[in-house]
Amino acid sequence: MNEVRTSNWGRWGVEDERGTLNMLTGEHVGQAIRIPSRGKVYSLGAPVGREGPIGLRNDTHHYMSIIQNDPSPGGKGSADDVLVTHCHASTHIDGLCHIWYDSLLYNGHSASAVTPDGAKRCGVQNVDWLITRGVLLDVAAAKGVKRLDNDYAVTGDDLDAAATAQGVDIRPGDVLLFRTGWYTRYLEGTADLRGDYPGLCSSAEEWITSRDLCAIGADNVAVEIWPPQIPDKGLPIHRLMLRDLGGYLIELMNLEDLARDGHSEFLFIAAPLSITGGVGSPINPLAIV
Amino acid sequence: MSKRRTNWGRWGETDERGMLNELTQDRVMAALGMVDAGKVYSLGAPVGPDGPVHATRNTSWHIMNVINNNPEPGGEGGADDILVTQCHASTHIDALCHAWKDSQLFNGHPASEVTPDGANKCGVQNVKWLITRGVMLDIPGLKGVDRVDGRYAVTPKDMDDAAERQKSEIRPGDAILVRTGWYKTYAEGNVDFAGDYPGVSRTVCDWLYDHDVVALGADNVAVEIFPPEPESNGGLPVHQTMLNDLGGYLIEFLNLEELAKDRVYEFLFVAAPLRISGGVGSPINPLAIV
Repeated sequence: MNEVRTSNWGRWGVEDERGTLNMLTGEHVGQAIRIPSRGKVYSLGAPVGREGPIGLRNDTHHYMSIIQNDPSPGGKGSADDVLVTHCHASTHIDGLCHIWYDSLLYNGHSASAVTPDGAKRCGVQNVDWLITRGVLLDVAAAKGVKRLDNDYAVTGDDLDAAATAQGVDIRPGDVLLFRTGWYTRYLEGTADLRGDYPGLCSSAEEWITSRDLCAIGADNVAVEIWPPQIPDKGLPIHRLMLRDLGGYLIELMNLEDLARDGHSEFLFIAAPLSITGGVGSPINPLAIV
Repeated sequence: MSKRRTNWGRWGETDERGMLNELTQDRVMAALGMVDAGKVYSLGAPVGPDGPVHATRNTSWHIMNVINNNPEPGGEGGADDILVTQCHASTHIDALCHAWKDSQLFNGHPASEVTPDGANKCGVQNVKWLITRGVMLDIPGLKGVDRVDGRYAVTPKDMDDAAERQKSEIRPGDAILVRTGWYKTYAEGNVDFAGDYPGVSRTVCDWLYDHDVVALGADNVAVEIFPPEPESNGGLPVHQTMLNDLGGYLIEFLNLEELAKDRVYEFLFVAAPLRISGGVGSPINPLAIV
């Protein structure tokens, strides 16, 4: 039986800034890479740019900075572009320095390390890569609905029910992706990106802690339900994962194709940009079966 | 009469993905099968004001737009940030719509499809992923030097000799990463981003076609040598060949130092560009896994 940890502070040394990434040893990576049998690759990234999904933040801009064309025979042409994006817009990973409490980041690093010049501790540049076993739990399908209602709070029991229905187990070091179906609203153009959405609730904290996950991802804005069920107490799943457990959150994922094709288990790969002192990074995560 | 070497039409008239069509499920499985130790190398350079970028483009910004902290017991804090970056700054992939000639993109798509609202054809959102066999050709290793000279043009013979020295076979569908050692100059803080840098010679173009290369990467600004060789008439022939003729991809500003240090020459190569709608390129953090 796995030891139940309420905190991973000190587990990988007092200086550690990478948290659960320490679980992804060479042996662990090798095992994950042996999962695929077909070589089919799913991109789980949402569009990036003006039409990309985003929560309570400003829009992304994609600006064509140069377009030049010499129309004479043999003439050359070229284009260049600029991306202005929130690091937490579209599909992205949260660095461990994104949320904290008691003025302490993961592993007891001082919150004063997060400065206007960037995060001096637990910045996203420490997340070189995530390569591990991925599991998709389709909570909407397990409930027999196209998508969960916007005020639905996903519990540990819901995750267990989906895992049982799909016949898949959760293992230490996994990236756990769960599907609420909220993303279909975005695809249909009916999502209220600043409104309520379904997600994990604080009653799932014990379930999460005991599973010893590397990361949790979802097809909604912030993995956990919005607005939080308990007012004025912050974001409980963010506090638990990022700050207490040193685990990662991946948000605004497109899980539709993976769910449609019925995949529960896969090789998961994500490679965040090495943004120096960054709090998050846009990513295009891959699932390979 | 020389035959024009092109992949136009090879995957149908409407294709916008070029050589990515060669990354079949069998190829993906074969590439995954290369992994033994599970050791992963990140080949991405820093992203932000300290990241590498050519002098003709502006430096990236990383803005901490929110930092709030409630210092009371149990009080929450949070931070948010914004990235402003050229899509061709730091380690990045060039989409097929980045360079063209005769007013035509790869596969004959009209250049007029590249608009102020983005590229309507051959945009970077079509790339999604590159998973294939990767081969790093260590040119300074071949030459027995720390790094090649700032004006050195890497020839097809250098590519073949490096492969032979490393006992690396080049296979169709490979991603070929060329190390010049230029990145060391950047890492040491001594680089002149407006200056000369070594790179692949225009004479490598036929080699790329013959080896059916999916992507060509390098540890410099633009893969090919700069300034261009006199015969190139100021153009960028490797860009024209790869992006326009062959539908192959270019990956620039790679950090290949750790691979070279560990003498890792063949590996599973993984890159997942951001799905920037109508984008001309994307920053990436490519991985090499052995």
